[in-house]
Amino acid sequence: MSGDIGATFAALADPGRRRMLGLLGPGQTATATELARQLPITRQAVAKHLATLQAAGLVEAHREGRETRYTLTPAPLGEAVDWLAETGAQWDERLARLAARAARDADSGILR
Amino acid sequence: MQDDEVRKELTLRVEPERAWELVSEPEHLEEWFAHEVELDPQEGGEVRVTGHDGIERDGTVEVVDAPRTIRFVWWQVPDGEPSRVEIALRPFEGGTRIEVTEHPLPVIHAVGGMYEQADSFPSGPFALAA
Repeated sequence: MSGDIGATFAALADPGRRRMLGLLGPGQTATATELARQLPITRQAVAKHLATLQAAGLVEAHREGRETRYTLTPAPLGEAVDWLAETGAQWDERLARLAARAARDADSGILR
Repeated sequence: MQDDEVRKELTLRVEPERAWELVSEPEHLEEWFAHEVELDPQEGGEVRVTGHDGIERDGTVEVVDAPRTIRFVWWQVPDGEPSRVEIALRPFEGGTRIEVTEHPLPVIHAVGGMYEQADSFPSGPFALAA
């Protein structure tokens, strides 16, 4: 668990990185070179994106001999979804109270 | 922009000037926003909030543009993840349209608990951390 939802969102903000997560998929592993073959970007760019995804806890790196293989670790995605749901619900409650408060003014003629 | 933030919109039956009082003055914020609210409505002003759920949050006001926009960063006490809240008002059909967005900010752990947004964070006290 990364514990940094902001980093998760920042990592997910890039469509190229989202595509890479899709290519990795559950239970699959790939090297930067293998991913670059399936994407219209260089191996260097893939490696940079993988570092961002790794920092956000969305992929893990494993050394296998001379190569580094990456796997998807989706736990932060669940945390991000939970944050959106919880924060959204809090604002729904706050705004319902605000609308009721404003309506009291409107009903009592304090429309100014 | 769409799937990495919370965005809510609503129409209030008061004019923008009154809506501005409701979203920027602590005594009014305590009527809807949170149980206890300290908020100094100026750039760099302190925010201290205790929610209806008892959760305490501290923050800093970033933008005050009456009667249109108030923006602040806040985090759960003592070291929760920071997020940025923007409340925007505009006249709408004799009332006021309010739009709220909240999105989390990445934390850069390498600078020891100080906060910095990845792309741009030009102002506010956290700039000192860079």
